[in-house]
Amino acid sequence: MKKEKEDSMRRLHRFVVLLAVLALVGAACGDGDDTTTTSPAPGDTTTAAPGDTTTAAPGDTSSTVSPPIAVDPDRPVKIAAVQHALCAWDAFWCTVEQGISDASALLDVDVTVFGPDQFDLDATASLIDQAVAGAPDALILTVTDPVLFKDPIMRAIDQGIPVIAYNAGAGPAADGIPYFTYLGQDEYAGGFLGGQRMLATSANITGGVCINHQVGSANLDARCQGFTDALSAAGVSAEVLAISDDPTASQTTISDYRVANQDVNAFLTLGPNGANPFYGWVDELDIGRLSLQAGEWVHGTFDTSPEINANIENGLTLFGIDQQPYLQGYGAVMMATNIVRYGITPALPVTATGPGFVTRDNVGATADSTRSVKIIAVQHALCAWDAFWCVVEKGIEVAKGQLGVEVDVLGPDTFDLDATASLIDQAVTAAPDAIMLTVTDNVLFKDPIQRAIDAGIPVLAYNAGAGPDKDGIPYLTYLGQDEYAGGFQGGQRLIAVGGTTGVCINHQVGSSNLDDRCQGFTDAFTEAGLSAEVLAISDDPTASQTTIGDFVTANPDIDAFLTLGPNGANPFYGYLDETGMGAGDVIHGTFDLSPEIVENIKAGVTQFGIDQQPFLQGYGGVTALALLVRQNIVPALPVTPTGPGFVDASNVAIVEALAGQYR
Amino acid sequence: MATEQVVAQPSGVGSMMRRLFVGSPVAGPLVGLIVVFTLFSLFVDNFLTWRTISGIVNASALIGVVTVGVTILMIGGEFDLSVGALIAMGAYLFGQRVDNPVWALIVAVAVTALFGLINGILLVTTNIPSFIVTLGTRSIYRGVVWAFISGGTILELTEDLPVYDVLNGRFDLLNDLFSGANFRTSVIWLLLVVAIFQWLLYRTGFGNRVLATGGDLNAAEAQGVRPKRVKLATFTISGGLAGFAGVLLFSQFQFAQVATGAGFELDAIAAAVVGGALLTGGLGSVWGALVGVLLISTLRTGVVLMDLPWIPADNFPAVVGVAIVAAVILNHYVRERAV
Repeated sequence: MKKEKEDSMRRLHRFVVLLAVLALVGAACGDGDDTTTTSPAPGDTTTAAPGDTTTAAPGDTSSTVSPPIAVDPDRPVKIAAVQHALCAWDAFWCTVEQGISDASALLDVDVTVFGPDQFDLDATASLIDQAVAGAPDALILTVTDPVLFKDPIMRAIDQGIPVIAYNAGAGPAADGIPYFTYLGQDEYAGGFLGGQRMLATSANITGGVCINHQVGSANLDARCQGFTDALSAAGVSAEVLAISDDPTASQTTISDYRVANQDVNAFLTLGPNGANPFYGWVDELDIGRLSLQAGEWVHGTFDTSPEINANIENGLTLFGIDQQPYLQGYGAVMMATNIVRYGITPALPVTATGPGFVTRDNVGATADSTRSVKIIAVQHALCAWDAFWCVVEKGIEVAKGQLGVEVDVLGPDTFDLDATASLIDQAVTAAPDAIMLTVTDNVLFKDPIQRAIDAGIPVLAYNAGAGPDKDGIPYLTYLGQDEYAGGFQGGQRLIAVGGTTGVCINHQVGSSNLDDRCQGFTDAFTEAGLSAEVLAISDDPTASQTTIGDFVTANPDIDAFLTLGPNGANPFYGYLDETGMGAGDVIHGTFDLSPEIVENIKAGVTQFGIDQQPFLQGYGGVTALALLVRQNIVPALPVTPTGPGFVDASNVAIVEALAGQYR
Repeated sequence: MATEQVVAQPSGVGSMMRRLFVGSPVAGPLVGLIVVFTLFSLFVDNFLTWRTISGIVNASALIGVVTVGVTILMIGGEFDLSVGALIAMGAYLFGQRVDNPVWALIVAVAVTALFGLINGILLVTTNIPSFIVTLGTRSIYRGVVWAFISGGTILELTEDLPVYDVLNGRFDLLNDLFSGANFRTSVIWLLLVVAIFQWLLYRTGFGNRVLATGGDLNAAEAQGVRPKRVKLATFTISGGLAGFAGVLLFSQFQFAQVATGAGFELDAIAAAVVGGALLTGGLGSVWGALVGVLLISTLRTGVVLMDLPWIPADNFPAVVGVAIVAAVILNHYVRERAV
């Protein structure tokens, strides 16, 4: 543990030094123009074949000692992308690389794409080293082989280079490599949301079947599990049918299964290998097509193909599920840039780029990256009278400048929900391309939001809301903090630095957001075979301080503390003062940031503060809507987490420097 | 030698039955098929319908065509594990040339036959067991398909040509006769392939040479059979038939990808063995291959239709596997009794 801590401190030191040097270089080279809008230069992305050595002089960081932190959000950023295949020889990758190149142009960052000239994992692994030798600000890559790639990736991480995985990988925990996040499809969510879509489309679903052409393949099994779970949750029976790679035999098996299970009328296939025999079976029935087109039966599938697209158009198939490779490229560059420029980190270890649902409404839509986009943002508060919202609006401003879209922010003069609701109607009247809004009151806002959706305007929620399901309003997604994940990841972090017995200090037991945080925290301990419990404190800080002291006296094993905001952190710090404890005596993490929390992170008393990253709520909302309107990219999940964003010793300096603007 | 029973000329119904059930490699599997079909008809709901029968037959078409080639190879004492890749190759080559489908069909079968011949050449020039040779070419041929299809992209056409209906379309002429039937025209091609190769195997000198080569190599050579030539021919047949199965597949689904046909090689060997072919060569028949394929297809349909709570639909292939082993045991038992 201690070794790990030292390592992480060393990494942190290198990272800070590197950042500082680059920032200084950037400041020196800066042209003084602080607008983030740039002319999209397609030449920004360069593709390097193996053997092409990209010559870059790495900054000499070793001689620099503790420089002052200078943060320049507009400084040049250089990103290296390493992938196991290239557009040059595999067409799938053209979409990924288009995303990379668009992001490079819009965000004004330099991206060099490295890839082998044929499928060759060893060559790819050595390209990682080659990319790192060019001293990029960030590294994005496919973790195609976590064993083979581990050492080269660790060399990058050890040099303080932030790493993001895309398209191939399984997340930092499963891959055993501490990169920030993996961008790829959430297979389980694809099956689950697909099942929910079918239930929402047809009221008379009596049974479902997931037609699996490769039972035992973990990805495909996860899709089926999601589907059967969604149907079971609605009280509809569902099971998995195994078919083979022989499409004629599979067609007969589907037919036989349906004869033996007459109640089944919801069908999910997992790609063309299942969809083709399914269509074959439907065609041999007299009523097959009619039943599907009338909605008595429903069919959805993973993946798209010319035949699937044609059947989506003619009403046979409800949806095709796409992993959205464009978003894997675009998102990886965007996340890497945000880490480098603003210290904004990805919220979850796995970032879903799919399921992206292709339906009759958007099938065959063509991308138009230059299309003008007008977005209206409606929020219940404004930067003009509530400083918290300045960070959200900064995010909107930055995205607006980068993407070249028009965004109008509407908000009431004082906190007034009725006025906010009528601003939504006002926004709908203006007929924008998309609307983003805070679902501060899901009952009061429901009708105006529904009017926007009925008018065909895409709507997403940010900062306030609970997701389309809980709010009961079918908007696209909600951008906000994943409270449970915050508690869970926080717990994992405290365990990693030696915590064995944990307590979650909850200043508002019964508040579902706070309870979720504690649940995540205790689950992380339980999963690690350790114990943790929840301590209820009150709004009275002196009484709470006493309660914390009493609890520790009664439970001397407690060594890991999580507080849920300043209301818990302040009495906790009071308790430390009272007992004379400080850095090294306790393991503490907290939600939220305050000047006192930031001081304690710097002093090493507190491991981390968890931030919901309001910048990302504004920035992410505008980006998601622009991608939707221009590139036909749909948000993958009903909730898009913007937090937990961890502020720890490694990034507290940049966060503090940007406080009030970006954090 | 097995051919002697067939060549013998008994008379009367009784001796015909005797001929069929004693010594013929088809006897065991045919008994198995009749028993299984009867049991399912009696005890499984919805089994004895034209829908079920046409489904069983349709599911046998692709694997049936492949199994005929694999069976002839096995009778000659060899294996071919590369047929799965050649199905993909045949499907792709056929799908490529929509402008001239007849030419496309010829190219698809000829090229896959050529790749079959390459298997044979590798075998006879190196004397490495065919199991190993084709284990290697299985991957190599996939690689060739991969290069054809340029990096894993799917070949899929949405236009429907008349030739597709001829090769593997709805067989409405037959379906109108039987209510609920969904026969496809592929059944004609399957039966044609079976008839041609059964004739070739049991009514021509070539067939005798195949059986002789697989039976007792030394005796065959003593009689003037040139085993290397026989093996080259049987590998060519196996490759070409796999390519033709790919053509039938593409005709129905207008779809080919690199992984198309994966797993067919073992299914075909299983069907050949169930159909009475010996893994050691020298015994088997093309009719038996057809019966073996139909038996496996019937088992699959029956198990799915039974819909037993303790056989989940995602694990029914395991039960089919058990039934295949049982069928081979029965087969063996019948053969032993016959001797």
